[in-house]
Amino acid sequence: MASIPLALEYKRYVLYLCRCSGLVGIESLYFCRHCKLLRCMDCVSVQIDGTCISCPSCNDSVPQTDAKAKKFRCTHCYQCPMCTTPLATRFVQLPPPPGKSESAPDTSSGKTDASPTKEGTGESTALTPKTSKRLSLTPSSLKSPGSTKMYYLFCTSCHWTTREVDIPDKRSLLDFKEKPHPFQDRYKALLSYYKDLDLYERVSSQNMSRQVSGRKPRPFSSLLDTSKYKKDPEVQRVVKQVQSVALSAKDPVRLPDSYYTEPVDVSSLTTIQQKLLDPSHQPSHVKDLWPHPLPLISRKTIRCRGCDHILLKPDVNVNLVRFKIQHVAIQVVPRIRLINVPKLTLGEPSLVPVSITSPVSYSMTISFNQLSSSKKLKEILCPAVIPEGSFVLKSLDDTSDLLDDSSQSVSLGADQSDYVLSSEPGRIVLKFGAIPSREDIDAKIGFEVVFSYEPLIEADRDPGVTELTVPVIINCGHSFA
Amino acid sequence: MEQQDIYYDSSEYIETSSGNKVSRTCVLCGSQNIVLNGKTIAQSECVFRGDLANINIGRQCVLGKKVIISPPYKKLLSGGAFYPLQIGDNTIIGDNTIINATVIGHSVYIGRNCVISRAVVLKDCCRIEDNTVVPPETTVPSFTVYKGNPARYVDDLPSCTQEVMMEATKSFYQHFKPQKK
Repeated sequence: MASIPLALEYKRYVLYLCRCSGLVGIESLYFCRHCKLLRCMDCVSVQIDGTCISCPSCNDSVPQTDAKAKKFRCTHCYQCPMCTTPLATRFVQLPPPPGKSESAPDTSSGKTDASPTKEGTGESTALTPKTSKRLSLTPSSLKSPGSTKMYYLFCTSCHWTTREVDIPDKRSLLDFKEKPHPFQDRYKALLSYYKDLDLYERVSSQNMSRQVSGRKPRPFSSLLDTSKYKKDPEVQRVVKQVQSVALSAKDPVRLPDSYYTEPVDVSSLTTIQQKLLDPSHQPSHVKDLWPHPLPLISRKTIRCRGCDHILLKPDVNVNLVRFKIQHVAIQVVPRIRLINVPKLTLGEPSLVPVSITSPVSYSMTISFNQLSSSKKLKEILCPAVIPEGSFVLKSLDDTSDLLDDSSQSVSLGADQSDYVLSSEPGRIVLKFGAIPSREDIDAKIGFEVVFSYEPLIEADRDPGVTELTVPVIINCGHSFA
Repeated sequence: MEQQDIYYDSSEYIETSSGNKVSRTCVLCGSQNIVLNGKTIAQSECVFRGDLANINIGRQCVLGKKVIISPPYKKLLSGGAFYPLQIGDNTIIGDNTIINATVIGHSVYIGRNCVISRAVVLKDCCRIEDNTVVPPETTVPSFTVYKGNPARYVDDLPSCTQEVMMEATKSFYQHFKPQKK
């Protein structure tokens, strides 16, 4: 007996064929009501919504300009360099210094435990087993106004702390900075140089354009000519610098003798994943690891690639899961589900019961066509028996949950009863058939669903009922001889 | 796949006036502190530690077998305290999962054999895969899938997750029927 809903299992039995030949579940499809086309994630344009950038840990919304300045990382939250879990904050409460002449306890190099301290988790205070044995202070003395809090970072998963790598405790979380890069000054110097060069080029090009305003414009190829830069003394100086560095790199890097003589301690070395978390440093040893600021996340605005209309636009409030605009296929396209995994026999027609559910509030007419599939699809599909004629799915009443099941039965025409197993408002169960031709692969049937679409918004260009088509492929499972 | 009918022994389950179906094999400690808002199914051998703090479970949730729901503990200056646990509507919790979180939003799917550790916040519309351990004090954002030990972000969920979860939990409740005699 299944104890959780089957609809949420990852195995997909029914897949919809997108225009881009991608096979996806109906949840991943968008519907453009202007083009009247279904689009999967591969045939839409995705853009980052600048108003919805936030930290995944503290949920603080960050404006786009601030986020860009901080390299799209949170200033308060850090992730563990060992296991990438967000780090928790712990604090040590230092008592007030007894006199001004006496200095406060040294918290550098992780020696805070030796001093009379108390440790806590975030806003609350708690004693760790390690430190509680050494404490002799009463809570009242710790609450005194002169006491200071010193923070350090702690991984709740692997128990890594900033003290392990000799990062001193800080007075504020903002004091935890990124590890300074060894070539930081060089980067800054190069950046400022290229900014100056850009400015110089702009000014010179403006002067040139003034001089030659009456003449014929220069061909585009002249912009690619770099010979003029080579004559510049400043450029020549930089080229010489680069050449000198390049020549010095020819000397082979010699490994220290200890590399060959001493046994390797694997536990002190970092994994490739840990190295790649910090691409600028790529630490080789565990002692060189440093907490990384947590990357920010953003919600996406999705646009139709054909007409550029918005299909999905999230709400500004990052804590809400609602959307300002949401045009998804699940609101328009009939939902097709397999009733159960049918018992298939090789080479013989087998019954495949399929339910079709209408998501819309108007009566929907559906019919089925044979799938005009490509050669690749024909190889995986087996012959299918598809219901003929059209079927009407009556609109689903919102109060149907409160009504008795017996009052919801729908009368069917004589021609339809051959294919219909059951019918109720908004849902119909039809008999499909599959004739498995191969034993080594799952039997799959394909067909086109033609359904009526009635735009509910008056602003739509083409009001009235139109017919839309969506190809569907059903995996009916394995067949036996 | 369409939800199949699930028949339970009517003598094994208690059905409340608001439609909750709770197995008689469940352990409800401090039942005055446990609130089930309606149409929630608690299957066999679940444990609710309402004696520690309040537990509030939303509408139309599905709790699998042997689920343990215990409010989170937090250390304080004066000792420690248990904080209330809130679970939103249309949430599904798989078999053998231990919940020690602070807040679980609505339309959340938690797989089988998971450990949701102390003071975890699961935002609305997220998914925790089977056999996942979410470390303490972690926040799982909306429309994300977390997996592994420790839990890491692996995938995104579609924007219509809320509708899918509502439909799935509603369908499961409708097909969870007493055995005909």
